[in-house]
Amino acid sequence: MSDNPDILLLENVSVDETHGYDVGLRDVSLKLNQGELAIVLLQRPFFNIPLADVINGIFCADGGTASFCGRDWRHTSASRAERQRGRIGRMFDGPAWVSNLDVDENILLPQRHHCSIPDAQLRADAEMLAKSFGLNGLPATRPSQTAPQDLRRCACVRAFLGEPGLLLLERPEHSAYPALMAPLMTNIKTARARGGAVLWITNLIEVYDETELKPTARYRMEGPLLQPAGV
Amino acid sequence: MNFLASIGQFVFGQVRKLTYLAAVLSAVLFVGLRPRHWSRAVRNVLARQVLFSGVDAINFISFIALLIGVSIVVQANIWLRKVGQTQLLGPILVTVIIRELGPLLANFVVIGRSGNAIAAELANMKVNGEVHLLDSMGLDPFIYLVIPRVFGFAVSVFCLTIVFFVVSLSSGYLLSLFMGGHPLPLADFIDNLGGSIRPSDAVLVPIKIILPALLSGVICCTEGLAVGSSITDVPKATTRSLQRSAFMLFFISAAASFLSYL
Repeated sequence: MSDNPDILLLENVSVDETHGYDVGLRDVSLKLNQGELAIVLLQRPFFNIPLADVINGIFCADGGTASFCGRDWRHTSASRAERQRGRIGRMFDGPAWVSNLDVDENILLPQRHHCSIPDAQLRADAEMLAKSFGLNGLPATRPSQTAPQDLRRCACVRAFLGEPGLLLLERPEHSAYPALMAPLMTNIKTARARGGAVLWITNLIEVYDETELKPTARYRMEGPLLQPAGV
Repeated sequence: MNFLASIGQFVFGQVRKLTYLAAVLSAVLFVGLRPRHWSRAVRNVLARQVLFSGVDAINFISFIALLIGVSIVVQANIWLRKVGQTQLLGPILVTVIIRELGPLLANFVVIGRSGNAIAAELANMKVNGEVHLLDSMGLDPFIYLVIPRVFGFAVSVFCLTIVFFVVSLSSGYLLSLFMGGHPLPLADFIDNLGGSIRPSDAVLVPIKIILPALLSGVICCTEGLAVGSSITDVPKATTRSLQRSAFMLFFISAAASFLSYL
Protein backbone atom coordinates (compact mmCIF):
# COMPACT_ATOMS: atom_id res chain seq x y z
CA MET A 1 0.00 0.00 0.00
CA SER A 2 1.40 3.41 -0.92
CA ASP A 3 1.65 6.25 1.59
CA ASN A 4 -1.01 8.26 -0.18
CA PRO A 5 -3.50 5.82 -1.64
CA ASP A 6 -6.46 6.86 -3.75
CA ILE A 7 -9.47 7.73 -1.65
CA LEU A 8 -11.67 5.69 -3.96
CA LEU A 9 -10.70 3.09 -6.49
CA LEU A 10 -13.05 0.92 -8.49
CA GLU A 11 -11.45 -1.55 -10.87
CA ASN A 12 -13.62 -3.45 -13.35
CA VAL A 13 -16.47 -3.68 -10.88
CA SER A 14 -19.41 -5.78 -12.04
CA VAL A 15 -22.73 -6.28 -10.31
CA ASP A 16 -25.48 -8.47 -11.64
CA GLU A 17 -28.80 -6.68 -12.10
CA THR A 18 -30.67 -9.43 -10.28
CA HIS A 19 -29.83 -7.89 -6.89
CA GLY A 20 -32.88 -5.65 -6.81
CA TYR A 21 -31.41 -2.61 -8.55
CA ASP A 22 -32.81 -1.04 -11.72
CA VAL A 23 -29.63 -1.98 -13.53
CA GLY A 24 -26.32 -3.62 -12.59
CA LEU A 25 -22.76 -2.52 -13.24
CA ARG A 26 -20.37 -3.88 -15.81
CA ASP A 27 -16.60 -3.35 -15.71
CA VAL A 28 -16.92 -0.04 -13.93
CA SER A 29 -13.63 1.69 -13.18
CA LEU A 30 -13.33 4.93 -11.28
CA LYS A 31 -10.62 6.64 -9.32
CA LEU A 32 -10.83 9.56 -6.95
CA ASN A 33 -7.97 11.21 -5.14
CA GLN A 34 -7.84 13.85 -2.45
CA GLY A 35 -9.62 17.03 -3.41
CA GLU A 36 -11.11 15.55 -6.58
CA LEU A 37 -14.74 15.64 -7.64
CA ALA A 38 -16.32 13.25 -10.10
CA ILE A 39 -19.83 13.70 -11.34
CA VAL A 40 -21.91 10.83 -12.69
CA LEU A 41 -24.99 11.40 -14.82
CA LEU A 42 -27.61 8.69 -14.41
CA GLN A 43 -29.49 7.36 -17.40
CA ARG A 44 -33.28 7.58 -17.20
CA PRO A 45 -35.08 5.62 -15.87
CA PHE A 46 -32.29 3.69 -14.12
CA PHE A 47 -31.85 5.77 -10.95
CA ASN A 48 -31.51 2.86 -8.54
CA ILE A 49 -28.00 1.61 -9.26
CA PRO A 50 -25.57 -0.24 -6.95
CA LEU A 51 -22.71 2.22 -7.44
CA ALA A 52 -23.02 3.97 -4.05
CA ASP A 53 -23.53 0.70 -2.16
CA VAL A 54 -20.44 -0.81 -3.77
CA ILE A 55 -18.36 2.28 -3.00
CA ASN A 56 -19.68 2.23 0.59
CA GLY A 57 -18.68 -1.41 0.93
CA ILE A 58 -22.06 -2.66 2.03
CA PHE A 59 -22.60 -4.48 -1.22
CA CYS A 60 -19.91 -6.79 -2.44
CA ALA A 61 -19.39 -6.59 -6.19
CA ASP A 62 -19.75 -9.81 -8.15
CA GLY A 63 -16.48 -9.01 -9.94
CA GLY A 64 -13.63 -6.53 -9.77
CA THR A 65 -12.37 -4.64 -6.74
CA ALA A 66 -13.69 -1.67 -4.80
CA SER A 67 -11.25 0.04 -2.44
CA PHE A 68 -11.53 2.94 -0.06
CA CYS A 69 -8.34 4.58 1.17
CA GLY A 70 -6.30 1.76 -0.30
CA ARG A 71 -8.26 -1.05 1.34
CA ASP A 72 -10.28 -3.49 -0.70
CA TRP A 73 -13.67 -3.84 1.00
CA ARG A 74 -13.62 -7.55 0.28
CA HIS A 75 -10.52 -8.03 2.43
CA THR A 76 -11.43 -5.63 5.20
CA SER A 77 -12.57 -6.94 8.57
CA ALA A 78 -16.07 -6.06 9.73
CA SER A 79 -14.91 -3.71 12.48
CA ARG A 80 -12.47 -1.89 10.21
CA ALA A 81 -15.13 -1.66 7.50
CA GLU A 82 -17.42 0.05 10.02
CA ARG A 83 -14.73 2.58 10.87
CA GLN A 84 -14.03 3.14 7.18
CA ARG A 85 -17.73 3.80 6.54
CA GLY A 86 -17.61 6.32 9.34
CA ARG A 87 -15.24 8.33 7.12
CA ILE A 88 -17.71 8.43 4.24
CA GLY A 89 -20.35 11.13 4.30
CA ARG A 90 -23.19 9.70 2.32
CA MET A 91 -26.26 11.53 1.19
CA PHE A 92 -28.81 8.90 0.32
CA ASP A 93 -31.18 8.98 -2.59
CA GLY A 94 -34.60 9.43 -1.00
CA PRO A 95 -35.54 9.60 2.68
CA ALA A 96 -33.09 7.74 4.90
CA TRP A 97 -33.80 8.34 8.54
CA VAL A 98 -34.10 6.28 11.69
CA SER A 99 -37.77 6.87 12.41
CA ASN A 100 -37.62 6.51 16.20
CA LEU A 101 -34.98 9.23 16.58
CA ASP A 102 -35.44 12.95 16.16
CA VAL A 103 -33.81 14.54 13.13
CA ASP A 104 -31.08 16.19 15.21
CA GLU A 105 -30.27 12.82 16.82
CA ASN A 106 -30.20 11.26 13.37
CA ILE A 107 -27.72 13.88 12.17
CA LEU A 108 -25.39 13.36 15.11
CA LEU A 109 -25.76 9.58 15.24
CA PRO A 110 -22.84 8.50 12.99
CA GLN A 111 -20.43 10.93 14.63
CA ARG A 112 -21.54 9.99 18.14
CA HIS A 113 -20.77 6.39 17.22
CA HIS A 114 -17.49 6.85 15.40
CA CYS A 115 -15.68 9.75 17.01
CA SER A 116 -15.00 11.08 20.45
CA ILE A 117 -15.67 14.76 19.82
CA PRO A 118 -17.72 16.06 22.78
CA ASP A 119 -21.46 16.28 22.17
CA ALA A 120 -21.54 20.05 22.61
CA GLN A 121 -18.83 20.53 20.00
CA LEU A 122 -20.53 18.13 17.59
CA ARG A 123 -23.83 19.92 17.99
CA ALA A 124 -22.17 23.30 17.48
CA ASP A 125 -20.50 22.05 14.28
CA ALA A 126 -23.79 20.58 13.06
CA GLU A 127 -25.66 23.81 13.78
CA MET A 128 -23.08 25.79 11.88
CA LEU A 129 -23.42 23.45 8.91
CA ALA A 130 -27.20 23.60 9.21
CA LYS A 131 -27.06 27.39 8.96
CA SER A 132 -24.84 27.15 5.89
CA PHE A 133 -27.52 24.96 4.28
CA GLY A 134 -30.24 27.46 5.09
CA LEU A 135 -31.72 25.90 8.22
CA ASN A 136 -32.42 27.81 11.41
CA GLY A 137 -30.93 25.03 13.50
CA LEU A 138 -31.20 21.30 13.94
CA PRO A 139 -34.85 20.19 13.89
CA ALA A 140 -35.75 18.35 17.09
CA THR A 141 -38.74 16.66 15.49
CA ARG A 142 -39.28 13.18 14.13
CA PRO A 143 -38.41 12.76 10.44
CA SER A 144 -42.07 12.06 9.66
CA GLN A 145 -43.01 15.44 11.14
CA THR A 146 -40.32 17.42 9.34
CA ALA A 147 -40.84 19.17 6.00
CA PRO A 148 -39.26 17.24 3.09
CA GLN A 149 -37.22 20.29 2.00
CA ASP A 150 -35.77 20.61 5.51
CA LEU A 151 -35.04 16.88 5.59
CA ARG A 152 -33.05 17.24 2.37
CA ARG A 153 -30.98 19.99 3.93
CA CYS A 154 -30.55 17.94 7.10
CA ALA A 155 -29.32 15.04 4.99
CA CYS A 156 -26.64 17.40 3.64
CA VAL A 157 -25.64 18.36 7.19
CA ARG A 158 -25.34 14.70 8.19
CA ALA A 159 -23.22 13.91 5.13
CA PHE A 160 -20.84 16.86 5.58
CA LEU A 161 -20.53 16.63 9.37
CA GLY A 162 -17.24 15.28 10.71
CA GLU A 163 -15.07 16.24 7.74
CA PRO A 164 -15.47 12.95 5.83
CA GLY A 165 -12.71 11.70 3.54
CA LEU A 166 -15.23 10.90 0.84
CA LEU A 167 -18.55 12.57 0.14
CA LEU A 168 -20.93 10.26 -1.63
CA LEU A 169 -23.83 12.37 -2.84
CA GLU A 170 -26.74 10.54 -4.43
CA ARG A 171 -28.95 13.05 -6.23
CA PRO A 172 -28.49 15.62 -3.44
CA GLU A 173 -30.31 18.24 -5.50
CA HIS A 174 -33.35 15.98 -5.91
CA SER A 175 -36.54 17.95 -5.22
CA ALA A 176 -34.39 20.86 -4.04
CA TYR A 177 -32.98 22.16 -7.31
CA PRO A 178 -31.81 24.89 -7.69
CA ALA A 179 -32.27 26.10 -4.09
CA LEU A 180 -29.73 23.70 -2.64
CA MET A 181 -27.08 24.16 -5.32
CA ALA A 182 -25.35 27.23 -3.89
CA PRO A 183 -24.87 25.90 -0.32
CA LEU A 184 -23.88 22.51 -1.70
CA MET A 185 -21.22 23.99 -3.94
CA THR A 186 -19.86 26.18 -1.14
CA ASN A 187 -19.56 23.25 1.25
CA ILE A 188 -18.11 20.99 -1.41
CA LYS A 189 -15.47 23.61 -2.15
CA THR A 190 -14.51 23.67 1.53
CA ALA A 191 -14.47 19.88 1.72
CA ARG A 192 -12.25 19.61 -1.35
CA ALA A 193 -9.87 22.25 -0.07
CA ARG A 194 -9.54 20.16 3.09
CA GLY A 195 -8.57 17.12 1.02
CA GLY A 196 -11.89 15.32 0.78
CA ALA A 197 -12.97 13.60 -2.41
CA VAL A 198 -16.49 13.96 -3.77
CA LEU A 199 -18.63 11.73 -5.95
CA TRP A 200 -21.83 13.43 -7.07
CA ILE A 201 -24.43 11.22 -8.71
CA THR A 202 -27.18 13.14 -10.49
CA ASN A 203 -29.93 12.70 -13.03
CA LEU A 204 -30.08 16.39 -13.93
CA ILE A 205 -28.18 17.52 -16.98
CA GLU A 206 -28.12 21.05 -15.54
CA VAL A 207 -26.12 19.82 -12.56
CA TYR A 208 -23.92 17.67 -14.77
CA ASP A 209 -23.07 20.68 -16.92
CA GLU A 210 -22.60 23.06 -13.98
CA THR A 211 -19.21 24.66 -14.54
CA GLU A 212 -19.03 26.14 -11.04
CA LEU A 213 -18.64 22.64 -9.66
CA LYS A 214 -15.23 22.33 -11.31
CA PRO A 215 -15.28 18.53 -11.49
CA THR A 216 -12.08 16.65 -12.15
CA ALA A 217 -13.97 13.97 -14.07
CA ARG A 218 -17.39 13.48 -15.65
CA TYR A 219 -19.05 10.15 -16.33
CA ARG A 220 -22.31 8.98 -17.83
CA MET A 221 -24.12 5.80 -16.93
CA GLU A 222 -25.20 3.97 -20.07
CA GLY A 223 -27.06 0.94 -18.90
CA PRO A 224 -24.60 -0.94 -16.67
CA LEU A 225 -21.59 0.88 -18.16
CA LEU A 226 -19.88 3.92 -16.71
CA GLN A 227 -18.58 5.94 -19.61
CA PRO A 228 -15.95 8.63 -19.03
CA ALA A 229 -17.02 11.92 -20.59
CA GLY A 230 -13.98 14.06 -19.97
CA VAL A 231 -13.79 17.03 -17.66
CA MET B 1 -42.09 -43.62 7.48
CA ASN B 2 -43.44 -40.15 6.67
CA PHE B 3 -44.59 -39.81 10.25
CA LEU B 4 -41.14 -40.71 11.59
CA ALA B 5 -39.52 -38.38 9.09
CA SER B 6 -41.73 -35.50 10.18
CA ILE B 7 -40.85 -36.14 13.83
CA GLY B 8 -37.18 -36.17 12.95
CA GLN B 9 -37.59 -33.02 10.91
CA PHE B 10 -39.36 -31.29 13.80
CA VAL B 11 -36.67 -32.32 16.29
CA PHE B 12 -33.85 -31.23 14.02
CA GLY B 13 -35.67 -27.96 13.37
CA GLN B 14 -35.96 -27.26 17.09
CA VAL B 15 -32.32 -28.18 17.70
CA ARG B 16 -31.27 -25.85 14.87
CA LYS B 17 -33.33 -23.00 16.36
CA LEU B 18 -31.85 -23.59 19.81
CA THR B 19 -28.32 -23.73 18.41
CA TYR B 20 -28.93 -20.49 16.56
CA LEU B 21 -30.25 -18.81 19.71
CA ALA B 22 -27.29 -20.03 21.73
CA ALA B 23 -24.91 -18.76 19.05
CA VAL B 24 -26.52 -15.30 18.96
CA LEU B 25 -26.58 -15.12 22.75
CA SER B 26 -22.90 -16.07 22.93
CA ALA B 27 -22.11 -13.40 20.35
CA VAL B 28 -24.13 -10.83 22.32
CA LEU B 29 -22.19 -11.64 25.48
CA PHE B 30 -18.84 -11.87 23.73
CA VAL B 31 -19.22 -8.57 21.88
CA GLY B 32 -21.25 -6.82 24.56
CA LEU B 33 -18.71 -7.40 27.31
CA ARG B 34 -16.05 -5.46 25.39
CA PRO B 35 -16.15 -1.80 26.39
CA ARG B 36 -14.93 -0.57 22.99
CA HIS B 37 -18.27 -1.54 21.41
CA TRP B 38 -20.20 0.73 23.76
CA SER B 39 -20.01 4.02 21.92
CA ARG B 40 -22.14 6.99 23.02
CA ALA B 41 -24.78 6.08 20.46
CA VAL B 42 -24.98 2.48 21.73
CA ARG B 43 -25.08 3.58 25.38
CA ASN B 44 -27.92 5.88 24.47
CA VAL B 45 -29.93 2.95 23.09
CA LEU B 46 -29.24 0.99 26.29
CA ALA B 47 -30.46 3.88 28.43
CA ARG B 48 -33.64 4.21 26.38
CA GLN B 49 -34.26 0.48 26.61
CA VAL B 50 -33.84 0.43 30.40
CA LEU B 51 -36.11 3.45 30.64
CA PHE B 52 -38.79 1.86 28.51
CA SER B 53 -38.57 -1.75 29.72
CA GLY B 54 -37.57 -1.13 33.31
CA VAL B 55 -38.41 2.31 34.67
CA ASP B 56 -41.72 2.64 32.83
CA ALA B 57 -42.78 -0.80 34.08
CA ILE B 58 -42.14 -0.15 37.78
CA ASN B 59 -45.70 0.94 38.51
CA PHE B 60 -47.20 -2.02 36.73
CA ILE B 61 -44.91 -4.61 38.32
CA SER B 62 -45.46 -2.98 41.73
CA PHE B 63 -49.22 -3.29 41.29
CA ILE B 64 -48.91 -6.96 40.30
CA ALA B 65 -46.57 -7.53 43.25
CA LEU B 66 -49.05 -5.86 45.56
CA LEU B 67 -51.82 -8.18 44.42
CA ILE B 68 -49.56 -11.21 44.75
CA GLY B 69 -48.48 -10.03 48.18
CA VAL B 70 -52.08 -9.68 49.26
CA SER B 71 -53.14 -13.06 47.96
CA ILE B 72 -50.14 -15.13 49.01
CA VAL B 73 -48.45 -13.50 51.98
CA VAL B 74 -51.68 -12.70 53.77
CA GLN B 75 -53.13 -16.15 53.23
CA ALA B 76 -49.92 -17.93 54.18
CA ASN B 77 -49.49 -15.78 57.25
CA ILE B 78 -53.03 -16.32 58.48
CA TRP B 79 -53.40 -20.03 57.72
CA LEU B 80 -49.98 -21.11 58.94
CA ARG B 81 -50.68 -19.34 62.22
CA LYS B 82 -54.00 -21.18 62.52
CA VAL B 83 -52.37 -24.57 62.07
CA GLY B 84 -49.46 -23.61 64.27
CA GLN B 85 -46.84 -23.89 61.53
CA THR B 86 -45.60 -20.29 61.41
CA GLN B 87 -42.03 -21.54 61.04
CA LEU B 88 -43.00 -22.62 57.50
CA LEU B 89 -43.87 -19.06 56.46
CA GLY B 90 -40.32 -18.27 55.37
CA PRO B 91 -39.79 -21.42 53.29
CA ILE B 92 -43.19 -21.02 51.60
CA LEU B 93 -42.64 -17.37 50.71
CA VAL B 94 -39.11 -17.98 49.52
CA THR B 95 -40.31 -20.86 47.37
CA VAL B 96 -43.37 -19.17 45.92
CA ILE B 97 -42.30 -15.54 45.58
CA ILE B 98 -38.52 -15.51 45.40
CA ARG B 99 -37.81 -18.76 43.57
CA GLU B 100 -40.86 -18.98 41.33
CA LEU B 101 -43.24 -16.07 40.90
CA GLY B 102 -40.85 -13.12 41.04
CA PRO B 103 -38.54 -14.15 38.21
CA LEU B 104 -41.42 -15.58 36.18
CA LEU B 105 -43.75 -12.58 36.43
CA ALA B 106 -41.05 -9.93 36.00
CA ASN B 107 -39.86 -11.68 32.85
CA PHE B 108 -43.41 -12.14 31.63
CA VAL B 109 -44.31 -8.49 32.17
CA VAL B 110 -41.21 -7.31 30.31
CA ILE B 111 -41.80 -9.75 27.45
CA GLY B 112 -45.40 -8.60 27.17
CA ARG B 113 -44.63 -4.88 27.38
CA SER B 114 -41.29 -4.60 25.64
CA GLY B 115 -40.58 -7.84 23.79
CA ASN B 116 -43.39 -7.22 21.36
CA ALA B 117 -42.37 -3.60 21.00
CA ILE B 118 -38.75 -4.55 20.23
CA ALA B 119 -39.77 -7.11 17.62
CA ALA B 120 -42.20 -4.69 15.97
CA GLU B 121 -39.73 -1.80 16.07
CA LEU B 122 -36.87 -3.79 14.54
CA ALA B 123 -39.15 -5.42 11.97
CA ASN B 124 -40.43 -2.01 10.88
CA MET B 125 -36.87 -0.69 10.70
CA LYS B 126 -35.89 -3.63 8.51
CA VAL B 127 -38.89 -3.20 6.20
CA ASN B 128 -38.28 0.57 5.91
CA GLY B 129 -34.61 0.11 5.02
CA GLU B 130 -33.37 1.68 8.26
CA VAL B 131 -31.15 -1.29 9.04
CA HIS B 132 -29.48 -0.83 5.67
CA LEU B 133 -29.13 2.86 6.46
CA LEU B 134 -27.37 2.15 9.76
CA ASP B 135 -25.06 -0.30 8.05
CA SER B 136 -24.22 2.29 5.39
CA MET B 137 -23.26 4.80 8.07
CA GLY B 138 -20.91 2.29 9.69
CA LEU B 139 -23.18 1.37 12.59
CA ASP B 140 -23.20 -2.40 12.83
CA PRO B 141 -26.89 -3.32 13.34
CA PHE B 142 -25.87 -6.12 15.70
CA ILE B 143 -23.95 -3.72 17.92
CA TYR B 144 -26.31 -0.77 17.64
CA LEU B 145 -29.67 -2.54 17.61
CA VAL B 146 -29.31 -5.97 19.23
CA ILE B 147 -26.74 -5.71 22.02
CA PRO B 148 -28.11 -2.69 23.93
CA ARG B 149 -31.65 -4.05 23.66
CA VAL B 150 -30.71 -7.49 25.00
CA PHE B 151 -28.65 -6.01 27.84
CA GLY B 152 -31.36 -3.44 28.56
CA PHE B 153 -33.90 -6.23 28.69
CA ALA B 154 -31.83 -8.22 31.19
CA VAL B 155 -31.03 -5.21 33.40
CA SER B 156 -34.72 -4.23 33.44
CA VAL B 157 -35.92 -7.72 34.34
CA PHE B 158 -33.35 -8.02 37.11
CA CYS B 159 -34.29 -4.70 38.68
CA LEU B 160 -38.02 -5.31 38.29
CA THR B 161 -37.67 -8.69 39.99
CA ILE B 162 -36.05 -7.00 42.99
CA VAL B 163 -38.90 -4.48 43.04
CA PHE B 164 -41.33 -7.39 42.87
CA PHE B 165 -39.71 -9.14 45.85
CA VAL B 166 -39.71 -6.03 47.99
CA VAL B 167 -43.24 -4.88 47.14
CA SER B 168 -44.93 -8.28 47.37
CA LEU B 169 -43.31 -9.28 50.65
CA SER B 170 -43.63 -5.91 52.35
CA SER B 171 -47.18 -5.24 51.14
CA GLY B 172 -48.29 -8.71 52.17
CA TYR B 173 -46.76 -8.32 55.60
CA LEU B 174 -48.21 -4.83 56.11
CA LEU B 175 -51.66 -5.88 54.95
CA SER B 176 -51.78 -8.89 57.24
CA LEU B 177 -50.75 -6.54 60.04
CA PHE B 178 -53.61 -4.15 59.27
CA MET B 179 -56.11 -6.96 58.87
CA GLY B 180 -55.39 -8.07 62.39
CA GLY B 181 -54.09 -11.48 61.44
CA HIS B 182 -51.48 -11.27 64.23
CA PRO B 183 -48.54 -11.94 61.94
CA LEU B 184 -45.04 -12.70 63.13
CA PRO B 185 -43.07 -9.73 64.45
CA LEU B 186 -41.19 -8.00 61.62
CA ALA B 187 -37.78 -9.12 62.88
CA ASP B 188 -38.96 -12.75 63.04
CA PHE B 189 -40.55 -12.44 59.61
CA ILE B 190 -37.29 -11.19 58.07
CA ASP B 191 -35.27 -13.74 60.00
CA ASN B 192 -37.59 -16.52 58.87
CA LEU B 193 -37.27 -15.40 55.24
CA GLY B 194 -33.51 -15.07 55.41
CA GLY B 195 -33.12 -18.46 57.05
CA SER B 196 -35.11 -20.11 54.28
CA ILE B 197 -32.83 -18.93 51.50
CA ARG B 198 -30.38 -21.67 50.53
CA PRO B 199 -26.88 -21.04 49.18
CA SER B 200 -27.96 -22.55 45.85
CA ASP B 201 -30.58 -19.79 45.55
CA ALA B 202 -27.78 -17.30 45.14
CA VAL B 203 -27.00 -19.01 41.83
CA LEU B 204 -30.32 -20.43 40.66
CA VAL B 205 -32.51 -17.37 41.27
CA PRO B 206 -30.28 -14.99 39.26
CA ILE B 207 -30.14 -17.63 36.52
CA LYS B 208 -33.93 -17.81 36.50
CA ILE B 209 -34.09 -14.05 36.26
CA ILE B 210 -31.34 -13.27 33.77
CA LEU B 211 -31.14 -16.25 31.40
CA PRO B 212 -34.76 -16.04 30.21
CA ALA B 213 -34.40 -12.26 29.94
CA LEU B 214 -31.30 -12.55 27.76
CA LEU B 215 -32.89 -15.23 25.61
CA SER B 216 -36.15 -13.29 25.27
CA GLY B 217 -34.20 -10.24 24.20
CA VAL B 218 -32.34 -12.29 21.62
CA ILE B 219 -35.54 -13.93 20.37
CA CYS B 220 -37.37 -10.61 19.98
CA CYS B 221 -34.43 -8.98 18.20
CA THR B 222 -33.76 -11.89 15.85
CA GLU B 223 -37.44 -12.35 15.00
CA GLY B 224 -37.74 -8.63 14.32
CA LEU B 225 -34.68 -8.54 12.10
CA ALA B 226 -35.62 -11.75 10.28
CA VAL B 227 -38.55 -10.20 8.41
CA GLY B 228 -38.44 -9.78 4.67
CA SER B 229 -39.41 -6.63 2.85
CA SER B 230 -43.18 -6.82 3.34
CA ILE B 231 -45.00 -4.86 6.03
CA THR B 232 -47.29 -7.87 6.56
CA ASP B 233 -44.31 -9.75 8.01
CA VAL B 234 -44.26 -7.41 11.03
CA PRO B 235 -47.27 -8.77 12.97
CA LYS B 236 -46.11 -12.32 12.25
CA ALA B 237 -42.71 -11.51 13.73
CA THR B 238 -44.21 -10.00 16.88
CA THR B 239 -46.50 -12.99 17.42
CA ARG B 240 -43.65 -15.44 16.91
CA SER B 241 -41.39 -13.53 19.26
CA LEU B 242 -44.03 -13.50 22.00
CA GLN B 243 -44.74 -17.22 21.65
CA ARG B 244 -41.11 -18.25 21.58
CA SER B 245 -40.09 -15.95 24.42
CA ALA B 246 -42.93 -17.16 26.63
CA PHE B 247 -42.14 -20.78 25.85
CA MET B 248 -38.45 -20.24 26.62
CA LEU B 249 -39.30 -18.46 29.87
CA PHE B 250 -41.55 -21.24 31.19
CA PHE B 251 -39.15 -23.93 30.01
CA ILE B 252 -36.13 -22.38 31.74
CA SER B 253 -38.15 -21.62 34.83
CA ALA B 254 -39.39 -25.20 35.07
CA ALA B 255 -35.96 -26.65 34.35
CA ALA B 256 -34.27 -24.46 36.96
CA SER B 257 -36.96 -25.33 39.53
CA PHE B 258 -36.49 -29.00 38.78
CA LEU B 259 -32.73 -28.68 39.21
CA SER B 260 -33.09 -26.80 42.46
CA TYR B 261 -35.06 -29.64 44.06
CA LEU B 262 -32.78 -32.44 42.92
